[in-house]
Amino acid sequence: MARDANQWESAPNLPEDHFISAATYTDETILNEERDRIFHKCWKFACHESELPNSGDYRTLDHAGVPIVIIRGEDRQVRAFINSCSHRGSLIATELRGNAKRLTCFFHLWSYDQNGDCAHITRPEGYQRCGVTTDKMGLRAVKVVCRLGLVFINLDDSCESFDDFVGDAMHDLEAPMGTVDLEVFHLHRVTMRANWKQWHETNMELYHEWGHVVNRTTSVAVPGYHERKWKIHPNGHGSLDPLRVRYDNYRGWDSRDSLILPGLAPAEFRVVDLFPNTTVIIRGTVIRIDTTTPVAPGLTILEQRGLGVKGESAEDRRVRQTHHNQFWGPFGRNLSEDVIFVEAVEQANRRGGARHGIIARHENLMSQDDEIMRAYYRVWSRHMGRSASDPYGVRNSSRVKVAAA
Amino acid sequence: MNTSNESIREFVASTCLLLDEENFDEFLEQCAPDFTYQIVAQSPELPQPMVWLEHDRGGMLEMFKMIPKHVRMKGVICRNISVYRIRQLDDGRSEVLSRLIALHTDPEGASKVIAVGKYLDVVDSRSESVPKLSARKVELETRVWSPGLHVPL
Repeated sequence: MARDANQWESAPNLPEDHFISAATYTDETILNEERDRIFHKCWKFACHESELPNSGDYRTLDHAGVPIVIIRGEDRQVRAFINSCSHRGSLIATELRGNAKRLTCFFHLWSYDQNGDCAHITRPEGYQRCGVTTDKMGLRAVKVVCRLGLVFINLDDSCESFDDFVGDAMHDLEAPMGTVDLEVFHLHRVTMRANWKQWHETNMELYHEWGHVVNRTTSVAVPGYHERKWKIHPNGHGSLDPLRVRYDNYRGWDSRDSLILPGLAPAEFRVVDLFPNTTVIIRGTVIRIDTTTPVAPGLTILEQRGLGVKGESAEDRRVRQTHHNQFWGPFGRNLSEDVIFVEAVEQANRRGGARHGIIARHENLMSQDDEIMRAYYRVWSRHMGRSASDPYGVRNSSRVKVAAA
Repeated sequence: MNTSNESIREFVASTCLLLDEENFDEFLEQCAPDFTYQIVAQSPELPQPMVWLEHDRGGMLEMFKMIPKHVRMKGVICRNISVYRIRQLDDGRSEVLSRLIALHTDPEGASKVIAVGKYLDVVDSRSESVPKLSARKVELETRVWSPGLHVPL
């Protein structure tokens, strides 16, 4: 039966980690704290190594509001720096992609080499009195690690090692992503009116696959779908047992029996979720990497990459692109629907229409169990010092309202 | 005025109207049996263009049939074109270059531009019957995308 205001607004009569307060998605203070406590502290996917194929190649990105430049040196090492001139703070690299032996700031022409050392100060004699010299004006280095072609960065110099952070969460990616050279052939963005966590949730809670006709027909209806188990890794990561998807169940599509990536069975589906907001999904022949950039509590930029085998024939690439686009392309049948789902939730969350999201499914860790989400938010809570279900800590106060059983 | 070019302009415009109206059956009637359709876009991060959609006539038909089953962005799309150039190919068909601006109007009447690009069409008007669209290549400048379109531009 329908509920009155008190019943609707009260915390569900569920364990604390079985629901999420809508404020977790809508509060600006929480987003600012997420930037400081999560994005500035955790390892974060930045780009793929294939985006930096040659010495001097660089990429720029916004990481939790901090401009970053990632550059491949002449020694083939990938390095990352805050993309800010030591002089007056200007952005140095102003393009998303480029190549430079030296990074030169367009404002006063200070320049930096690929190691981040300051190589040139314009009219240095003007700084003699104060002792500003090139050896003291290097760029701010950012920790960077490359694993299976994925480039991760961390703004926290005292962070745990990447290997400690990720553990064996990327194990399922080793064969398909670590055997042959891959390259990004697709990169598009979507500006979503939704919170960044809501997007990551779509890559964790498979219960929403009922909403996609393409997933219902090719996956949910397939034997073994519900019997896969989630592996809950420490630090908020997750991976799922594989599934052989029946792409040919969808009208007009063929099965994916050829061009299979190394280590996979035909049409095999794998997913690895990395805290806080990166997911790698493999669909037999092609790979997708999702990551997001939060702009505001209800505004997120989704960045979506498709990967194939580097140097493959044009015909093979065409097949892989088709497979990518069928599910994940801008005109594809799956990913764009997820955006509509999360935007619909945000619309209700925005002004307090919705109060809570329930993550209470228990299916023995099988594919539509919500434990993957509960584990994620327990880690979130650890970083934030707040409960995702009670971010303001009012549940134990006199103002607490708890729904009747 | 070049009557032939005028009829080609009208023909290209009519294909846009049919797509706007989601009259996909009649749109396909305007397409040649060997019709090919492709959408390409450029990502500033990548050196090579991306193919976002590619179908032959049969693939388009299958795509259209599944549209009603999908979760879609609500509202209507208007494909506004300006034909910039018509030139005759060696085989007598015409290559038509048009500027495309696709606009979306939501159910509450708010409109916005969702895509900018070009159509590169090949129109076959050699026979005495109505022209046919032999090929359409949509070259997008937009790569920040809107969700749930499911329909070709």
